[in-house]
Amino acid sequence: MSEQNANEVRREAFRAAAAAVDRFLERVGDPVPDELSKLGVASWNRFRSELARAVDLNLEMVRDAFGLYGTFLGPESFNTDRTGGQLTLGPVTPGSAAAAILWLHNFDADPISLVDLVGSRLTSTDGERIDDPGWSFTHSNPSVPARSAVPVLVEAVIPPGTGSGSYDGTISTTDGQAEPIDVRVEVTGIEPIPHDSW
Amino acid sequence: MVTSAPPFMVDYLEAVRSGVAEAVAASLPEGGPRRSLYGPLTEFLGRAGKSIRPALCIAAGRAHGSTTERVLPSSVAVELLHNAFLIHDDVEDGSVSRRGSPTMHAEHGVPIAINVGDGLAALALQPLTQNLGLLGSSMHNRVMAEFGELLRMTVEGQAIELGWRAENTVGLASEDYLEMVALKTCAYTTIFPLRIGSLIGSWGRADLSEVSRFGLYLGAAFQVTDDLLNLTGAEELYGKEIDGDIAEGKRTLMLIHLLSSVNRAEREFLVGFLEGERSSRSAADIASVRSMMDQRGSIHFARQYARALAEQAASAFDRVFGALPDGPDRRFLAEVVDFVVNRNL
Repeated sequence: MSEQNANEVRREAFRAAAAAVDRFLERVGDPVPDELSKLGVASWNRFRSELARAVDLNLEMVRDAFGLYGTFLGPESFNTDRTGGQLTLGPVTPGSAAAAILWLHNFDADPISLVDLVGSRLTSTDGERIDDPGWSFTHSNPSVPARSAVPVLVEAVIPPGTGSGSYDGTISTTDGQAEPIDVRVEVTGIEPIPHDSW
Repeated sequence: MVTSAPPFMVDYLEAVRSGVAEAVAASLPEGGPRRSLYGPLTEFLGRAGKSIRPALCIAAGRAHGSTTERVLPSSVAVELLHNAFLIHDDVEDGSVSRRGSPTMHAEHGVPIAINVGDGLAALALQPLTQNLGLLGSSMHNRVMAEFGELLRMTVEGQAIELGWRAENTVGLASEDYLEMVALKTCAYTTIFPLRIGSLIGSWGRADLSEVSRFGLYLGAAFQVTDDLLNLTGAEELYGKEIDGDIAEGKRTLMLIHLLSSVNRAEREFLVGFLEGERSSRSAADIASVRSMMDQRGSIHFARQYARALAEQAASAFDRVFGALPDGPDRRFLAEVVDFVVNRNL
C-alpha cells in the first residue's frame, strides 16, 4: 500500500472513529436538561465535571479567604507574646507543595525585626514522619511595623511516597522569642504505588 | 499469562490477575452443584486471560487517587461479566476453542455452557453489593447505572453483529463496523471499565465523555488487532482457532474491506460463502477468502487502521489522564495503547 493510501486509511479511521464516538455519547445516556440546553450546554457529563471543578475552586478561594480573615483576627497569629491556634496547609498530594499565608502580628507600640522562621518535621497521627518537609518562608517586609501585621508565605514540599493523612508540626522563630505555632499539613490523594494492596 | 508485553505491563497485568482471582475465589459459594456449574466455571476462570478489563478499571481509579480496595469490586464484576459474555459468545459463534482449550459448550454441551455463563453473570452482582458500604449510596447508584449501560450496550452490539450475519449483510463500511464494535467490544472492554474507575477515583469529577473517547479508540484498536490475530496469530498464543472468524462469517474490518475491494465474480463468491451456515463453509473456501484478503490488501488496511486508532487513543490519553500525577497506574494507561496493537495474544 502506498504512503498516500496509508494516509487515506488514517483519515478514514479518524473520521469513522470520531463519528462512532459521537454516536456512542448520544447513546450513553447523557441527556442535557432543557434549561441547560437553552444555555448552550451540550454534554451533561462535561457540564457536571466542569461544575465540580468550579465548585472546588470556589471552595478553595472561600477557604483561603476565611483562613486569611481568621489568621488576621487572632488565634493563628503569633508574635512575641501571643500564640495559639493552628495553621493548616493543603490538602496536597505527595510530590507537590502546599502553601498558606501566616500573618505575623505585632501588637506592640514599637516595630520588630522579622526573625528567621523554622519548621519542624511533621508527624502523622499514625506515627508516619516527614523528616524534611522542605519548609520555606517568603516575606517582603524586613520588619513588622508597630500595631501591624505582615504576611509570610509558608510552603512545604511533601516528598513522593508520603501516605495520606494529617501531619502535625510546628513553626517557630530561630531566636526563640515567640511561642511556636502549631501547623498541620493535610496530605491527600493516593499517590499511585505499585500494586499497593495485592 | 502475558508473553508479548514489556516487563512492566506483564507485572502490572499479573498483579491485577492474581488480585482479581483471589477476590473471585472468595466470592464463590462452598456448596452448590460442582460438576455442572461451579467445576466448569472455576476451570474456565482459571484459564489464563489477559485481565486487561479489570486492569483498566483499577488503573483509572488509582490514577485518579482511589485505593485498590474501592475499585476492586467493580473490577471483579467486569471480569466476571467478560467471562460470562465469552461463554455465550462462543455458543452463538459456534467457536471450538478458547484460551487454548475447548470452549465451554464444546466440552460440556450448550445447556450447561449457557447456564455457566448465566452463573458468572449472577456472581458478578455480588461484588457490586460491596460498593454500597465502600462508596456510599450515591456513588453506588452511579456505578450501578454505569453497569446497566455496559450490559445494555454490549448486548445491543452483539445483536447488531448477529443481525448482520443472520441477514447476510454485505454492504457495510468501516463506520458501521466501528459503531458495532463500540457497543459490542469497547463498552465492556475499555469504555465502562475506564469510566467506572475514573468515576470512583475522581469521586465524580472526571469528564466521563473524554474518558469514553479514550476508551472507544483504545477498544476499537484492541478489537481490530484481535481480528487480525485471528488471521495472522499463532494459535498456541492466541488461544482460538486461526481463521475462525472467516469460518463464522464474522463481519470483521478485513472482510468489510475485502467486500468493497473485489471484482464482481469474487463478490458473488463471497456473498455465497457468507450466506451459508458455519458448517457449510469448507476449509478450501475459508483458505480462499483468507488468500483474497492478502491479495486485496485487507490485512494491511486493518493494520494501518488499528495504528490510526491507537494514535487517536494516545492523543485522547493526554487530554484525560495527562494532568494526573505520574505513577505506575498512569503509566499503565499510557502504555496500554501500544500494548493492544503490538500484542501477539
